[in-house]
Amino acid sequence: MKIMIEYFPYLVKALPMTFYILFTSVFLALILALFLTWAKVGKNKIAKAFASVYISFMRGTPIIAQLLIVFIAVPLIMKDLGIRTNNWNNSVYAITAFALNEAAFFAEIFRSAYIALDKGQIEAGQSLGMSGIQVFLRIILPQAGANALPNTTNMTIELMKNTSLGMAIGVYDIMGKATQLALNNYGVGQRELFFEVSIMFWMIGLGFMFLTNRLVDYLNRGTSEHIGKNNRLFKRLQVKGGRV
Amino acid sequence: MSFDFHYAITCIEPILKKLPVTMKLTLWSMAIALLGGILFALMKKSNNKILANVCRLTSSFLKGVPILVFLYFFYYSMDDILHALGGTFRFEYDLRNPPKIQMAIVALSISYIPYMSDMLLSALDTIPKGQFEACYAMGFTKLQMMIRIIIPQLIVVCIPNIGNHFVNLLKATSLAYMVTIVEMMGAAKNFAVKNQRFLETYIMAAFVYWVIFIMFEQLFQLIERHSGKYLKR
Amino acid sequence: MEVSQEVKNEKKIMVKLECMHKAFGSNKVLNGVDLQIRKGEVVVILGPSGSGKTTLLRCINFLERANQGKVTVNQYTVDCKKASNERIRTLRTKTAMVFQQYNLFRNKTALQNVMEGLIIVRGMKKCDAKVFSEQALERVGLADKFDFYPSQLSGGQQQRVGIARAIVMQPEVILLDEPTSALDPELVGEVLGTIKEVAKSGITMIIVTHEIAFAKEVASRVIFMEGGVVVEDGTPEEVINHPKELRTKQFLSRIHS
Repeated sequence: MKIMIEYFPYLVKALPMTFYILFTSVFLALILALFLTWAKVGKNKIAKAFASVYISFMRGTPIIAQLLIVFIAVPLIMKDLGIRTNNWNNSVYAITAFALNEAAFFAEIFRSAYIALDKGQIEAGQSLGMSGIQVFLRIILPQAGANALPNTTNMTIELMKNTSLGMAIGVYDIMGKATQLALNNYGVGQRELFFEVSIMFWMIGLGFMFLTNRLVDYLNRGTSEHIGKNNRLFKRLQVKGGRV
Repeated sequence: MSFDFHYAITCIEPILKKLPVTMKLTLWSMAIALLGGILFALMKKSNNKILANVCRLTSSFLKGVPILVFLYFFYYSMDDILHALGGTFRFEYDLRNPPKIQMAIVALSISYIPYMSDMLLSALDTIPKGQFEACYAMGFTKLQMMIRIIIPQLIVVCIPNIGNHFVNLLKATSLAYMVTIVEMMGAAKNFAVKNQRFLETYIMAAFVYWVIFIMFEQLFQLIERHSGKYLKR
Repeated sequence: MEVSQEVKNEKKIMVKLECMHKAFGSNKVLNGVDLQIRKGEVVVILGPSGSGKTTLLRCINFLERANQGKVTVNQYTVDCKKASNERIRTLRTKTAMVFQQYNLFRNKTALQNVMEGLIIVRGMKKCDAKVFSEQALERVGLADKFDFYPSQLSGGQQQRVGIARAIVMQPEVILLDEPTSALDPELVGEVLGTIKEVAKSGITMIIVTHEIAFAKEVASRVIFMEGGVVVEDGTPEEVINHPKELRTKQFLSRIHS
């Protein structure tokens, strides 16, 4: 127990790195996923094939392998392009690998949300004379987005766990820091250390789940399934006119 | 950046040599996770509120922790666990050959237990209540009902999910190399280090996993199509 | 002499329900039902929805558990309040039920469905069970459907398999819970015909149904229930054609348009 308290400050110092990797990779992955989904549901056969192969590869190979490949390949590619990578923080490679990986999973989520859309709405928008971009922004995005949101947030929570793999390429997030401490203090308190790490991950995960649930509830505040729900948060939303 | 194809081909053999280890990890973890999942599902559904809540809490914990953390935890706890087991069960082990694989199997299986129990409970919901009532009305015991009527139907519903988790577990076993177990990823790393060529080796390792992944995906789709035949018109 | 006659009559009472009370929360569904059904009777229970007729039927084999009362099947009595699982299970082996939704085992063929009870509950050998089951399926007119799965059969066929599954067990009493309510109209006739044929064999049957014409044809006794109590009880001729109670008359006039 004492050991755990001792280690705590070191581990907490590494939290920002964990969050940095998580949010950056998720952000990039979302953008890439939009392109992938667009390719997969579109009519361009080549783009569709490429997207399918990409998604299959990303989902069918272990993340650790992808991480190691990116770690080695990116500097080599950069070298060819004449960019020096010696000073780069390893977290860059982690973010790249995670973003590439996560994009595939997000693309699948977006694709099923898109398929679930009511096509009639798109046709209505088009017949009103809306441009393609307007249709996308005002009709597709809000509705498919609402459908995809719960799955996306669940996926993000899963991905938070994957950030622990960064330690394999020397990234000092919680896990990286923990293994460093473990090696430095050989024989002392490793069990407690990793138990503490697991509790930390669990707590962060619960925190995320709580936040995302509130977000999803907020976004669904107008739907029929929420009207009349005996939910404290919901009641507050109603009283304050929808602003939290 | 160059890619040596000749060398890449030579990578395949050492990696595939350790496929049995990967499969051992996957299959054992899957089996234990299923058993644990059944246990958890029974406990969650029981009338004992305390037991059900303890299970919910434990499931939340098991879901919230990265597999790598569990792998490390059990690897470093090996000593103490074995001492405790040795005391109560008179269990002897070779100090030079510690049961790393067994520890990894424990770590992997507990990660998947909550997913298995969720899957079983939601599959149970899909079984029409009438199936149970017909059994009760005829005087079946609970055990007879489960074994002959309910479980066969549950299996059919669960197959897609089991297939999904199975291939994920397969990929997860690649993490075992970080706790010094030589399975496919470990073999790749060793080979890469030996030949000082990393990129080709890791790419080939990914490729091997990809092929195996696709094979199992097809296999499970086949099983799914074949087993659900009584549900089709 | 009179005593032995009474004893003989007592023995012939197949099903006895005493003081049955059942409430779902604050909703009292059964308000004290006492009933005696003799061997060989074909009893039809009629009544509006919410009258408690289905609940009463399901209380007999404890698919619903009455709050109060006693169920006796062929002199085997189970007290609803104090019943143990073992006693309930034994009671259930004396009854067989035909369900509104058929409830055939989805993962077994028609023949296997019928065999299941014999093998599991009666402990019969598979080959013997097969012989009896084939006979039962032939009796309900499904000799060519032995190896069909329920999903491959029409509703009427499924229900007939359900009836075969019930009769093959040779129960003391068969309980039928609205056997034709879930069927398309054109399939109702074949099931009613099968039930009629089974009734001829002299087995005790209790049927909850909406089909008044059927009740007139098959029933040896009609019971009208409303509000959780038995309102009227007599032969079909008495209850349907010449109802004595006002509530019975109102119900029948609503149905007979």
